[in-house]
Amino acid sequence: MSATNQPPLLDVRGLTTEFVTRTGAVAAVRNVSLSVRRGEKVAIVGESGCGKSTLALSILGLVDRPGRIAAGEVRLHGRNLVGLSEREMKKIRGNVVSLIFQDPMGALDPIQTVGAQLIDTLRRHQPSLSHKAARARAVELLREVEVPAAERRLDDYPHHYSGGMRQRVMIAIALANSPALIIADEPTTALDVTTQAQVLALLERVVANHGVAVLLITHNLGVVAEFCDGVQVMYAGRIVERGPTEAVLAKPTHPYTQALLESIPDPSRRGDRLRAIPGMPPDLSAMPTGCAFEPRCFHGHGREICRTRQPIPIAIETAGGPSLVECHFAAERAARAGEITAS
Amino acid sequence: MLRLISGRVATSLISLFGASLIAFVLLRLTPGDPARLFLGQFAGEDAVQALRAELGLDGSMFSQYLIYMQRFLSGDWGFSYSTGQSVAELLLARFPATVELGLFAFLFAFVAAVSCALISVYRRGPVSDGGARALSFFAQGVPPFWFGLMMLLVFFEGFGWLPGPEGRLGLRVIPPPTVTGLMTVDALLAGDWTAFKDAVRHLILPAVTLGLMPFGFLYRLLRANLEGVTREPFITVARGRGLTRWAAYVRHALPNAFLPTLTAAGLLFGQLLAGSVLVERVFVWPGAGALVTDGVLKQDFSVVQAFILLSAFLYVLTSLVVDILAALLDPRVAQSQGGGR
Amino acid sequence: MSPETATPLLIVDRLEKSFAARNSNPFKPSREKLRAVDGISFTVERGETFGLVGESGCGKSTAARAILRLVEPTGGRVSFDGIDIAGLAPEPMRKLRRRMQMVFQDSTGTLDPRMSVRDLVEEPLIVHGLGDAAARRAKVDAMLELVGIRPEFATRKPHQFSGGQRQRIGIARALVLEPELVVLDEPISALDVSVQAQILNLLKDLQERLGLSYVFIVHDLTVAEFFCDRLAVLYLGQVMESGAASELFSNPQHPYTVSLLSAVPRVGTKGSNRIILEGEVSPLGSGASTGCAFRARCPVGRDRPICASDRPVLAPRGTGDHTVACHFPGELRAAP
Repeated sequence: MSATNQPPLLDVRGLTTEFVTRTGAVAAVRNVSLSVRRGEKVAIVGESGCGKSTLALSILGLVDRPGRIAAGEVRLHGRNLVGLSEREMKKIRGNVVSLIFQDPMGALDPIQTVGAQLIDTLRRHQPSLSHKAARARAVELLREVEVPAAERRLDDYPHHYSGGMRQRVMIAIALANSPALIIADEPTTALDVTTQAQVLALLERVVANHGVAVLLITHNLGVVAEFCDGVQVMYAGRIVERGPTEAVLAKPTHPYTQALLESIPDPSRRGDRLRAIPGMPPDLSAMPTGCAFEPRCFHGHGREICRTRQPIPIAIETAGGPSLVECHFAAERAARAGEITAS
Repeated sequence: MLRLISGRVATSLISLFGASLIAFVLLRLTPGDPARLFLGQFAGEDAVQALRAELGLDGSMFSQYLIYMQRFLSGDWGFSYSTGQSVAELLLARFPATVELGLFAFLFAFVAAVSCALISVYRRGPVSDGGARALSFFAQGVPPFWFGLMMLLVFFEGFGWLPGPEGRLGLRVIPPPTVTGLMTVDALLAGDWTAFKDAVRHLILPAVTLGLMPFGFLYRLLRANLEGVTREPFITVARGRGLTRWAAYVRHALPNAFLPTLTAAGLLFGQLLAGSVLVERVFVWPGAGALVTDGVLKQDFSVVQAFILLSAFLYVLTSLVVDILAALLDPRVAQSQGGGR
Repeated sequence: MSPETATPLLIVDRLEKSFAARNSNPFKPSREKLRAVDGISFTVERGETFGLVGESGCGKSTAARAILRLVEPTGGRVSFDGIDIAGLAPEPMRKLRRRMQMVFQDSTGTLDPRMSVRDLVEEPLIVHGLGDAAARRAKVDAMLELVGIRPEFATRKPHQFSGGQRQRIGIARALVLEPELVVLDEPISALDVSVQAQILNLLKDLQERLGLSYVFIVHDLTVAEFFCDRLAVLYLGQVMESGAASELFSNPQHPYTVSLLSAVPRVGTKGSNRIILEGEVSPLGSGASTGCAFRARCPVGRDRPICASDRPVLAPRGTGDHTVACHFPGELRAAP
C-alpha cells in the first residue's frame, strides 16, 4: 500500500522445503513466496500438515535433517538467509527475528528458571550487558508482558507458571532483543478462550509499541480476522490464496478458503449439517498432478483442467488491495463473488 | 529439600538394616561350622565349644545377629576363619582398590556415554545410527575378561603404551602414604606427581574393561532420551533464541536427557563394585574381589559378611547421593515431593 | 411423578466431587478440599444434547467422569433412567455402563496401538459378553461402516489413521454397545476445523439414527452454540448459567458468559470492544465457600460486598428454563 519503494522486511521467494525419506523426497513447502513489511501482521492459516509450521522453521533455518530447503530464498532486510551457517544464523535468531511457539508445556526448558532463559537470550545478543543489567532488563520485560510480581517470578521454573503466564514469558523472550520480526507459531492455540483473548491483546499491544512485524501461524480463522492485516491460506504446501484479511475472509475466492470458512459452525444455522470438506488433504508423497485441492473441491472436482494442470496464481482486485489466488476459476469466481456464499 | 533428604536417609537406613539381616541369615544358613573350620578337624570338642561361645555362635540366631552388628558397628569385624587375620584389616587394605577401580570405570563409562550419545544424536544419519548400535552391542555383549586380555595384548604387549597386569603401581614407584586408600587421591594429597601419573596409567586398562558394559548400557539409555528431548519444542525455541544447534543440545537437551538416567547410573555404579572380580583377576588388581571369592570357597563367613555389608552400605550411599542429586538438579522432583514451594 | 416416558434420561442433582488439596506441610494435615465439581444439577432429556461448557479447570471433565462413576462422586445424586447410580453394586453398575458410554478427546490414548481397528471395536462386546463371534463381527463391520471407516481398513492399526479417523474409531467403540447416553469429552478439539465439521456431522447423524442422548463437554463456544440443545456454563465447578442454547447465547445474563462469548475471536467481527477478563481461572482458596466463585475476575461484582458475602443461587431469568447464578444478572453487556 504505502512505501512500496521500500524493500519488504521479509521476502520469501519460491521456497521449497523437502524431507528426504527412504522412498524419495517429500516436499512439505512448495514454491512459496510471501513478504512481510515493517510492522505488518501477516497470517499463514491452514490445517495441520499443510506445511505452515515447516514454512516458519524454514524461514528461521531451523529445518534439520532429513529436511532441507531445496529451492528458493529467504531475504531478510534484503539478505538471503538460505545457506547461511549456524554461526551466522544464531546472530539473527532471537535478535532480528524471534520465535514464539505454541505452548503445550514444552516451549521452555523445564529445568532452568524462567529468568535464566530470559537473561541468556539477552546476553547472547548483547554481550556487553552485565548479568545485573540483564537481570534488571529481564524484570522490565516480564513487567511489560504483565507478569505479576515480576522480580520474584524471575527465579521460578516454568512449571510454576500457568499456560497463559508461560506464553507471556515467551513473548518477553521474543521481545528481548527488539527484533524486527516475530514468527508466532500457534501462540494461543493451547490456551483457554479468556486467556487467549488476554494474550492476543497483549501481543497486539507490544508489537504496536515496538513496531515489530508479526508472521502468525495459525489454524484459527477467528484469530486471523482479529489480529492480522494480511492472510495467506496454505493447503498441501502451497499458498493457495493471499490478500488483505478482510477481503479474503469476507469474500473468499479460492474454493478451499471458502470451504474452510464454511466448516466453522454457524450458530444461526443450528441443527443443519455443516459443510464439511470431504476427504483428507493429499498425501504429500503422492500429490495429484493437477490442483492439490481438486479431489475435495466442490467447484472443480472432476473437471479436466483441475485434474491435470497445476493452477498458477491469478491476481484479483479486492476492496482492500490485490489478492492472489491459485485456482483455474479464480477470475470467474471473483466476478460473482457476491453470490458465492453457500450455494 | 531438607525434608526430602531426611526422608531418603531414613529409607536408606531401613535398606541397610534389611541388607545386613539378609546377609547374616543367608550365611548362617549355609552348612559348615565356623568354629570347627577355624580350629581344624583335629581340635577337641571343648575347644570348639569355647570358640563358639566366644564368637557368640551358641546363642539364638537373633542374639547372634545383635552381637554381630554391635561388634561390626564398633569396628570389630571379627577375624578370618581361614587365615586368622582381622577382617577389618584385610578388607580395608583391599576394598579401597576395588572402590577406586569402580570409580574410574564409572567415570569412563559416564564420560564416554555422554560424549558418544551427544555426538551420535547431533550427527544423525544412517552411518552414525548404525555405528552407535554396533558400539553399544559390542560394549554390552563382549565378556570383560576376554576384552581385558585383548586390551593387555594390544596396549601392553603390542604397543607398550600402558603398564601390564602388575597391580596398582609400578614396582619402582614408591606408594604414597595411605590416607583414603585411593591411590590417586593419596598421591595427590602427598603431592607426588610421579605416583599419581603411574596410578592413573595403571587404572586405565582395568577401568575401561570394567566400565565397558555400563558404558554400553548408559550410552543406549542416554541416546534414546536425547533423541526424545531434542524433539521437544524448547530445543527449537532455544535455537530460536540464538543458540546454535550444538549449544542447544549441550545446554538444554543433555541435562534434560540426563536426569532420567541418573537413577540407572547409580545402580550401575553399585554393580560395578560387585562385578569387578573377573577384571581384578585379569589385571592382578589387589581388590576385595579375590578376597571374597576365596572367602566364599573357604566358607569364611566373616569376610563375606563384612564385604556384603560394606557393599550394601556403598550401594545405599550411592542411591542416596543420586536421589539428592536428582532433587537438586530437577526442580520438579523437589516440588512433587512437597519439598519445594 | 409423570409417566415413565417423561422422566429425563439423566438427572444430575447437586453432584459434588472434591479432591484432597495438595498438602504443602506434612506436619499440619490440612482439611482443605479442592472442589472440582461443586453442586452441579442438570437434566438430560432423551434424544437431546446437553452441553457442559467452560474453560479448563471448570470441572466439566470431572463432572462427566463423576456422572459415569469413572471417579466416585463425593456428594449428590445421579440417576440414569430412574436408577440411582450412586448406590449401585459393581455388577449392576457394569451392566449399566453398557448403556452409558464415553468418547474421549484423544482417541489415540485410548486405542491400543497393537490392536487392529476391528479388534478395538469388538473389544467392548467381548468385555460385556455380547453375541458370538459371527454376530460380533457383523456388528463391528456395521458399526465401522456407520462411522465411515471403510471395511478394507478394518485390519489396520490405529497409527495408520488420521486424527479424525481415529476419533471415528473411538466413536464406533463407544456406540457398538448401543448405549442410550454418550458422554462426549471434547471429541473434536484435537481436530482440524474441516475434520471437526465432519465429526460433528457424524455425531448429529448418529444421534438422529440411533436416538442417542449426548452430554457434550466442550470449551469451544461456537461449537457449543451450534451443536447443543441446552447447556450449562461452568466456572470452578459451579453452574453459572444454564438454559436452551439459543436463549443463552442470544441473551446471556451472567457476566462470565458474556465475557466468554465476547472473548471468542470470530470471523467477521473485529473485537475492539472485547471484554477482557483479568487474571486466570484459579481456585479462591480457603474461605471461598462464601460469595460468588467468579467474583475475583468479575467486572461487575468484584468490589460489591454482596458478591463476596453471599453465594448466588441459580434463579430463573429470561425465557424457558434459563437460569442464572448472579446477584446482578444482565448488568454486563458486550458492546455491539
